[in-house]
Amino acid sequence: MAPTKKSKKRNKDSKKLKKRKNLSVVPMEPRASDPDWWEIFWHKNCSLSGSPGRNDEAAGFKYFFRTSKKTFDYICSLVREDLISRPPSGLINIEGRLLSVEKQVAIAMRRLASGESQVSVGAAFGVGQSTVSQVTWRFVEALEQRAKHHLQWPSSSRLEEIKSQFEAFFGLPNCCGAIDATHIIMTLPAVQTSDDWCDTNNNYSMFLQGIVDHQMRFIDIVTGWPGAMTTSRLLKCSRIFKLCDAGERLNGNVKKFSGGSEIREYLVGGVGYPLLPWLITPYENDNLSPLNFNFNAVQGAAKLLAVRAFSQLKGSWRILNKVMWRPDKRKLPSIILVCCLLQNIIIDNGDELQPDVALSGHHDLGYQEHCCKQLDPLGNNLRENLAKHLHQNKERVCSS
Amino acid sequence: MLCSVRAGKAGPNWLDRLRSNKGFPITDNLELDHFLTDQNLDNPCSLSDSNPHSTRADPRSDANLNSHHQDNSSSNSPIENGNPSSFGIITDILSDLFNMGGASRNSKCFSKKYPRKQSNPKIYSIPSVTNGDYADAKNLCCLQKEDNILSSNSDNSSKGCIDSGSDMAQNVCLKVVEEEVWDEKCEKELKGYSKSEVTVIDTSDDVWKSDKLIFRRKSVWKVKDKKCKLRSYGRKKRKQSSETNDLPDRIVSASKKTKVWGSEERFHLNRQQIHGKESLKPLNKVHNFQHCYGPESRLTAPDSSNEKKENGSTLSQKNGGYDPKRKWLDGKLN
Repeated sequence: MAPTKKSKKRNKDSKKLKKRKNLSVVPMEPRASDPDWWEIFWHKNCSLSGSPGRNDEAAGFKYFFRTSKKTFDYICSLVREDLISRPPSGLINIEGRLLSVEKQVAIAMRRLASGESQVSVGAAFGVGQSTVSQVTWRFVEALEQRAKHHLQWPSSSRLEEIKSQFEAFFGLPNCCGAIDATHIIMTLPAVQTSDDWCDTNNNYSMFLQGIVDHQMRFIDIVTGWPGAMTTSRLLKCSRIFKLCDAGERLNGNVKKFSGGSEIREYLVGGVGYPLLPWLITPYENDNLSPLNFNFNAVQGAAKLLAVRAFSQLKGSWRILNKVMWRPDKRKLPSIILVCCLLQNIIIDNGDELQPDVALSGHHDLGYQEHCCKQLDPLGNNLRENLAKHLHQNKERVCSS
Repeated sequence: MLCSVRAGKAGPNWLDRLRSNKGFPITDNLELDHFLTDQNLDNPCSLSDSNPHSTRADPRSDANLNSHHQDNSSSNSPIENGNPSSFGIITDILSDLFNMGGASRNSKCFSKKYPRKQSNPKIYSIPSVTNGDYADAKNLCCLQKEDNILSSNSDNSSKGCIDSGSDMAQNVCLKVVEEEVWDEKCEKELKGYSKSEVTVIDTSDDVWKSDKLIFRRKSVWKVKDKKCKLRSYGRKKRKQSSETNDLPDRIVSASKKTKVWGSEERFHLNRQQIHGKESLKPLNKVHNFQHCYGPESRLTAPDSSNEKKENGSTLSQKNGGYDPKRKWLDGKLN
C-alpha cells in the first residue's frame, strides 16, 4: 500500500510541477491595460436593455456594478491583497492573461448585482463559468474579512446621531434602528429534502435579519438560519437578543419626559416580533384608539426603513432575489453578508442608493408576517409612553 | 504472530520507514539474522542517534527487502538462535508499533515518532484515573479516546503527561467522559428530531461565523453549537479542560411548543384579535425569556405566549461530533 501511495503522490507532485511550469509562462496582464476590461465590457454590453445608453458611461458603470467608479476602486483596494494574481495561482482569462483585481471585482460584483448565471456573466467578461465561480467566491471571502468595519454596531457617538435622526424624521425619541427579516429563496438538491428549510410558503429559504439605521445602513445582521423558523424565533437565536436582554446593548441614556414617563433605547419592528422592553412593535387590536393609531402610523413609518433597506438590498444584489439553485449552505450566508457589506460601503462612500434599482414590491413578496403574541409588560409600558409622547407632540404642533 | 504479521503484507517502504523510525540503518544487510545478531542492537539508543531519519532507500535495498519478506515467514525465531535479549528488544519495538502488548521499558528509550495513523490503537491502563463517578466502561472509552489523540499527535511531552498520570491527563479524560455522557443524553432526548447543520453569520457575535446544529420536531427547535471534538493535545486541551468546569452552566435548554401553527396564526389574526378581545399577556421573564436566549446559554423558545415550557431537556454544546470534512451540499455557488 505504502509504495502505491507514494507513487501516486509522486505523480501528483510531478503534475503540480508541470502545472506550475505552464502557469509561470503565462503573460501577466500589464497594469496599464487594466482599464481595458471596462472599455471592452462597456462596448459589448452598453446596448443591453435597461442600461442607460452608450453616452453615459458613469451611469452605465453604476447600472452594471451598483457603485460609482470611485467606490469601485475603494472596494478593489480592500480586496487587492487577496485577489491579486500572481503567476503560480492567478486566475487567467480565455487568452491566458492573468486577471487584474479590477476585472475580478467587476466579475464578482456583476454576478452579485445581476444574479445572472455564471455562464452569462462569464460571457460578458470573456471568461469561463468556472472562473466566474472562483472569482466570485474569492471576492466574497476577501470582502467578508476586509470590510467588517463597514458593518458594526454603532459607537455611542454614532448611536446618538442615529437617535437624533430618528427623532427628527419620525418624532421617536431614543429609537436606535429598525429591524426586519427576509427570506433568501433557494432550491435544494433532491437528497437534501429537510423540511427545516421549507418555509411557510413551501419554499426552501434562508433567513436574513437586519437592523438598519436612518440611512438604511445595516448595523447588525444575522443570517444562515432556516426559513422554516418564525421571525420571533430567529430573533431569539440571534446574539443581539441575548445582548439586549442582558442589558449589554441598547442600554444608553434613558430620556425622561413630563409626567415622569421614561423612554429607554429601543428598536422598532413589525408584528412578527415580540414586544420587548427594547423592541417596540405596533398595536395589534382592531379597535385602536386615536392615540394608538397615531403611534402605529409613526412606528410603521420608522419600521419602513428596514423594509426599504431590504428592498434596496435585494434589488441591488439580485442574486439574493432570485431562486438560488442548489447553493452551498456554508457559502450562502457569506454571500448574503457581502451584499449587506456592499450596501453599507456604497452609503459610507457617499454614493446614493439607486431607488430605481430597488424592488418595486415588498422584499418578501408573498410572505405574511406571522403575528407574534408575546408582550412584555416593560415593553408595553414603553410603548404606552411613546404613544403618549407622540400624541402630546402632535397636539403641541396642532395648537401652535 | 511476530513473523506472520506484517512481513508478508508490508512493502519495502513501509519497512524502511519502520527501520528509520526506530533508528536502524536501512542500507545495511537486511537479513533478519544479521539484524538480530547486530552488535549495535544492544544499545538501540546509540543507533537512533547515529541514524537520523532517512526514509529513502536505494533500489538495491528495495529488491533485497522484497526477497527478504518472502523469506522472513520461514526464518527461525531469534530465540532459537539463542539471543533472547535481542528478541526482547525486537518484541518491544514491534509491540510499540503494533500494540501487541507486553512491551518492556526498554523500548521507551527510543526517540519515538508515532505513525500518523494507527490502525489498531492500543489501550493504555492509567492508574491515576480513579474517579468513581464513572463506570469502567466509560473509562475504557475515555482511555481509548486519549490514545487516539496521542497516536494522532507526535507531541512527546503530551505522551509523557499521560504516562505519568498527571492531573492534566485526568482532566482531559474526565472531560471526554463527560462529553460521552452528554452525547448519550442528547441522543436520547433528540430521538425523533430532524437534524440540520447550519452556518450562521451573526455580526453581534465575537466570531461572526459559526456552525450550529439544529434539531427540529414540528415547531420545536433546539440549537447547539457545533464544535470539533478533541483531536489535538496540549494547549487547546488545557483550555477545553478548564471549560469542563463550566459545563453544567453552559447548557442549551429546550422548551417545547405545545401549539402547532394553525392557519390563523399564520395569517396574522386569531379569533381573539379579530374580535378585539386580545388582552395583554404579561410574560414572566424567568420562564419566558431566559430560556429564549441564544445558543451560547439557553435556547429555543416558544413563538407565542401560549406556549408552555414543556421540558427541561438539556444539551451539551460541546459534543458536536463534528466532521469538518463533511460537506453540506454538493451544490456550487450557483
